[in-house]
Amino acid sequence: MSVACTVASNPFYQISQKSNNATIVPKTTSKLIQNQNQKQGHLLSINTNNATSINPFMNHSNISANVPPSNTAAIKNNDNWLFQFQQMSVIDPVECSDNYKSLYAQYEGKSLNNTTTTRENFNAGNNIMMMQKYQNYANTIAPTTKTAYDSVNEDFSVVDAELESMMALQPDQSVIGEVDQDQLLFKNAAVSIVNITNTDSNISNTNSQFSTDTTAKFKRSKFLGLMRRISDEDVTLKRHNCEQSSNNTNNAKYDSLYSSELNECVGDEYITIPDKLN
Amino acid sequence: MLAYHMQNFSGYSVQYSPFFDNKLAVASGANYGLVGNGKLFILTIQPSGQIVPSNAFLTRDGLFDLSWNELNENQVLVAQGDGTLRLFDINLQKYPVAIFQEHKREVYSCNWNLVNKQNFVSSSWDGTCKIWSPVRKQSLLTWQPVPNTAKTNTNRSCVYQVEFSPHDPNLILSCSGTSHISLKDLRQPGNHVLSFIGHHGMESLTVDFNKYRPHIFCSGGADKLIRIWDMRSIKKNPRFQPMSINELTGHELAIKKVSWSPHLDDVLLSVSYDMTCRVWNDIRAHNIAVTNAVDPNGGCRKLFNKHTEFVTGCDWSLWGSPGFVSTTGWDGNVFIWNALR
Repeated sequence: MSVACTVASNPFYQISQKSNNATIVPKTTSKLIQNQNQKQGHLLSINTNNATSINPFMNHSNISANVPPSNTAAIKNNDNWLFQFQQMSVIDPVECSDNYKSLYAQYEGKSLNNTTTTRENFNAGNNIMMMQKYQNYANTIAPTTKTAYDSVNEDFSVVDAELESMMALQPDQSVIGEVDQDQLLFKNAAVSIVNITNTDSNISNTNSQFSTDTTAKFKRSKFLGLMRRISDEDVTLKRHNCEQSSNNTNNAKYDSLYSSELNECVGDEYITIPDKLN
Repeated sequence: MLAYHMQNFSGYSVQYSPFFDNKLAVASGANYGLVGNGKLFILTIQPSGQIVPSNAFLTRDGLFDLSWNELNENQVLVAQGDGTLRLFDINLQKYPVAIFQEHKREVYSCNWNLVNKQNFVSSSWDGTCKIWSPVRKQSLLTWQPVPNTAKTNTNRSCVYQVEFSPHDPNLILSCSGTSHISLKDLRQPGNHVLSFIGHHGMESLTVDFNKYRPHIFCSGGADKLIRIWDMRSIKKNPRFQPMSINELTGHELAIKKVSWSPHLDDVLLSVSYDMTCRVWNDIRAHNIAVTNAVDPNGGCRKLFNKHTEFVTGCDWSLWGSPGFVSTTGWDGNVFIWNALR
């Protein structure tokens, strides 16, 4: 058996491979390798040297593949390896301190004593029990969870319905879009008009600058009613829709008034007039 | 009183035909002229007293003013919100016979020259006035009654009304949102304009020449006042602020239009945002020692309050017995009533 095979099959090596951090460091590594080089030929020595230069135990599979061991050499090496194996020590850089190990050993000992029955049951039982247990757990959780999900789903469905109804009432963003400067000015103008007519009408008639007749007219005025709706942001300017815009060479961006509350045009719909001459 | 209602349209201006005693034209706009189409109504007063539309022209934008062609009895000029002036033939359908497009913003006023009858003038919210000939697409002259300054707000530079003098074909009167009232004499070289503050810094909305006293004109503004001016008191010095010779008070909101009577030199009609129309006597016209302040009613001889929205347009009838007027407003009504009874 080659050095490589031996090392590879060595349980400490496997541990080191699993731990990835443990390193098996023969005390006589250089000597060992030197001896093996002399005995097993150039290729092995090269590979071993290369492997050693990088990581002495990295490429053992390659070594084993490249160097078929002879029986006599293996027998001799067995003795050597036994000896060398005894001389080897394992250094784990992440190994815990002895104090911690002893404390953990005490803890493990207590745990084992307390859970012996359970573990025995588990060991004596089979996976079905565990499955049954988890199934029971799942069953105990599932109805609750299902109920909870149902109620949540119901809540969500209610919220969805509300949102849908709100969306239906939302103004058509393709028509209205975001409030731009003109719409803001329009609203501000409406607010000022409402303020002019409202402020004074709230004052008692004796102090009002408007006559009773004028105040009554203001209250009945459809235009001022529209201004109130504009100031309340219920009504705003409606932009040209795409079809009309493509046909319309008019510079005006707006063609009618739009109520976001009613989700429909207010007043008179715009009629596109071609720019023709008689 | 005669009435006609324009369905879905709000009246902005009305004018009797100078050729037919039973025709009048009304400029209107949908949605109170704020946005949407406009419509020019040609109304006929039937012998029975009924007012019927004889023709109508739907326009792509609101109409703010109109003026009959003084040379062609079938043509009406309109000032449109899209910055154009359009000349319609009332015997044709749908489309205008000419379009005049140079203004950059809403054309708010137009007026045909009553003396030479060869041209017309327009004013716009772009702050300019233009003189046009109906046979040319391009304007003949453009000027700014109120030059742009750093202090001039662009929104206030709107020229709300412009009109030719009925006495002098070269004299043009205009008013603007900066409160300026401007006199332009076309014989003066360059962009020379006589301007003064007309309404205490508030918007001057309307002006009109007296038909009998060539130096007298009146103006109305957002300060709710109607002021009567003598242009002889207006100096070239811009620091000199002329004094009005008379003030008529009584309207409760801004005055939208004033119009002197074509029959009487001391009577004028005003319409206002307070939804009323008032007929006034200029008491000072025949007695320079007094003003309307001495009159208990302020010189108001009649108040017409049938309109239910802002009243925006008015005109005196040239025909029949003196005193018939037509008024229109945002309620869509056109009323014909006698102002002197």
